[in-house]
Amino acid sequence: MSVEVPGKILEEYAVRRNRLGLVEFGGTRRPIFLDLVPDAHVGDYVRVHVGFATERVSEAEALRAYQELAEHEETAELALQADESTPDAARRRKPR
Amino acid sequence: MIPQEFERVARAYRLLGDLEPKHLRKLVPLAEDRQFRPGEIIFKERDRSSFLYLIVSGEVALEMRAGGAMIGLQKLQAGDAMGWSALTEDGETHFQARALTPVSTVAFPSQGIREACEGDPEMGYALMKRLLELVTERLDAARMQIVRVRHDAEVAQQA
Repeated sequence: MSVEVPGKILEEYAVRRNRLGLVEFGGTRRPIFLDLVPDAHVGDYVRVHVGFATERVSEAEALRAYQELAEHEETAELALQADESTPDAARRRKPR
Repeated sequence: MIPQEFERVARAYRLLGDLEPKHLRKLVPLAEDRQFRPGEIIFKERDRSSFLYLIVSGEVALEMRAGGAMIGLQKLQAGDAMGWSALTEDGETHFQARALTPVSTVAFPSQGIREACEGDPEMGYALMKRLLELVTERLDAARMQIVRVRHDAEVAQQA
């Protein structure tokens, strides 16, 4: 399962015939095309696909997505720890 | 002042960046992020082309078999498209594409992009026009390469 996390627009620029924004996703910042979200500006949250912002989302929705991602990561870590403690995992760890 | 990174990204995405938003809205949802490791074969010669790729970063060697050996034809980089056979009826690739560095692409599945172009001929025409410009640039680069190789051979012969 993958969780799609919205990003926050920090800066925006007109480049060639496009509008691009510096968008932050949990600490990572990437240039993203904003041509499909004409109403999104600095401070707004957007959903992104292959380098293009496709949809503007509310701050509440963005924060909920961050929360879900944190829970998902926690669950994945617990699942990994549980798997590591199974006899199968112990066998896999044995040197050949 | 526009940061250099933004200029680089705008250039890398120029195939899509030049399209109207109403056309982008149909194309962007079809696209996938696809990454390749150095040395990885992206597609083989005479394969079925499954994707039309837009190179976002990295370098790719286009190669073909000649006399039992693979020869390098051209080096592609950010902003170049490859695998346009994905848009043709038979979909057969004419070259092999091999990643020279870590390569990041935006890839359009062949069936999805063909259906989208047929379903919206105006968008299809706009995309084809942009692709044709890239293909023309590619042909010009190939011609220049032939001229350089011939020139080098002539200089070597005279020496």
